[in-house]
Amino acid sequence: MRPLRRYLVLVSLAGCALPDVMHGQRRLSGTVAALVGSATVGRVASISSEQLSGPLFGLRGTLRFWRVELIGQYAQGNLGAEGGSVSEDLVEGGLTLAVRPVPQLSLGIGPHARSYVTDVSTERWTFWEARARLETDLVGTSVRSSLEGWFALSGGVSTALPFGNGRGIEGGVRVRVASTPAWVRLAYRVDRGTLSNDLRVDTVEQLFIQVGIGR
Amino acid sequence: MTEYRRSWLLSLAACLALAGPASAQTSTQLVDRAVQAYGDLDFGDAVGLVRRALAASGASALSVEDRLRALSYLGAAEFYRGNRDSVRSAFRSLVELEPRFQLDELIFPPEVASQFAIIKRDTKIVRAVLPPVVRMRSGTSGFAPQLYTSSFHRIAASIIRSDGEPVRLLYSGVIGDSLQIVWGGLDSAGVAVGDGRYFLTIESSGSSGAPERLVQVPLDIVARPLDTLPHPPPPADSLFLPERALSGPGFESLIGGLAGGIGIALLPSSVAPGAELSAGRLAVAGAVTVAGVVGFFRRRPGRIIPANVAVNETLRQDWRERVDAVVRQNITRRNEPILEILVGQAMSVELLEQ
Repeated sequence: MRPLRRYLVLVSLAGCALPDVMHGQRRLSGTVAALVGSATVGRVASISSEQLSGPLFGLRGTLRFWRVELIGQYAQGNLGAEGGSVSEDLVEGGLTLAVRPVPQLSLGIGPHARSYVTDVSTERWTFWEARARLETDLVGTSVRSSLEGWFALSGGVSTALPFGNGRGIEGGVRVRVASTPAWVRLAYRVDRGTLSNDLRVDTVEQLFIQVGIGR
Repeated sequence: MTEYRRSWLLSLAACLALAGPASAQTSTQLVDRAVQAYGDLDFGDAVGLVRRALAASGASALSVEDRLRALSYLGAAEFYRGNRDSVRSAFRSLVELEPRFQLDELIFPPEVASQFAIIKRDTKIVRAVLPPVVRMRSGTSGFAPQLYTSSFHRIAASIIRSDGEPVRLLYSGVIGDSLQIVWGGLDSAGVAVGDGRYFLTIESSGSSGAPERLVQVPLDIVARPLDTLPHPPPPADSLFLPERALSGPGFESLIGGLAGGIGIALLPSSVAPGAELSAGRLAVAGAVTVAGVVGFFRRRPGRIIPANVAVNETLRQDWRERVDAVVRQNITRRNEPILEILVGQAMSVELLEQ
């Protein structure tokens, strides 16, 4: 069932892009941005819970051709509990292939992986996600807001327990520096991954600033 | 009896019809007989015959060529009769009739030709050659009389009104053999003349500088203004851009900012129900909302759009410049009408010294 859903989503995205392939501008463009912020992981299991937080650094890049976009991101940070007793690294990366049927809407699909690395083990979560992103200009073209939501079409966890579901949301506002291709973006992101039967629920919050270049 | 009357009437009508040509032929024949009498050295008869021929008028008047021939023989015959004044009178008439006339030295002896040359040199006269009708546009050089003179002297050519008021001086200077002058139909201020009678006057001055002779050519002028051009139509309304912001963009910003802010503030709770979410989302939501409000006021309804105002002004300015160009063209057209000039018979007047 899940491979069929993924196939249907891919076919739908290709269908959205086709008219633009016929008539759109064939010009390659892109952006690249550095990311700095903080991340908080709230982990709730059936018998325990913990909260880790720490700084987060990363990169995000976008390649755009016609109305097709390829978005890649990578971030990592060292998270710790308030008392300092527990420490682990959060490493995550993702790749999204998206199309823009209209300039304000982007629809995409792609893999997303997240790892929690400790001195003794590595726990990896993988998601195949479908995404929808809305963008609108607020002040001319210099200030633009975005709201993006996603859910996991399928996923997996490197534990003995099966994957449950995943979903998330990200919102932000981007301010372009006048007369330059540079921009600054403030964003908030939260996503949740669960194991089957909610045996464990991970909520990851990120508040970050991106400094980027490109249109 | 009836047949006799009809024949008599036909004969009478034929005589009346032939009377004119017969008289003209008689004048020419008189000149021929005078030439023969001159050849026979019968100068008295020659003079008498020529004077009879010259006195003919109307249909029997001599042609210009015959008049030139008659006056040549008249002057030569009087020369041999010793009548100096008559010689002078005949040859002056000859020069007035054709200023550039040359006496044939194969026919007339050198002393006669020499006398003619002296009189021609002393007779300052100009003849203007023009077509009977001239059509021209004001400001052009369509009116261009050719002047011929009897001898080198100073002239002043002008256009004057029928009441004698000067309109424009066309030329002031010397003339040797011939000269072409032009007039564009404008007065001395550069304004097109109106309808009415004007004169082309050519005043010849003698060696002393005093005016000796005036030639006047009447000109009846009819001015027909050119049709004016229509003004170009103003640019269509569809070409103008809206100069004030409509309600759309401003409200789009406001709605986008509010929706984005609310979404960022509330949707995380639905993604992660039960979780204790940080206040960071509220900061981002607030920033999006404030940006939307700012965008609304930046693009509020009714706000003047300077870029569109500039584009529209350029459009209006371009149209105004095209209208101004047509207005200038129409002024030119009104000031430079089509002139129809009917050229009359020239008159020559000898001026007496005061």
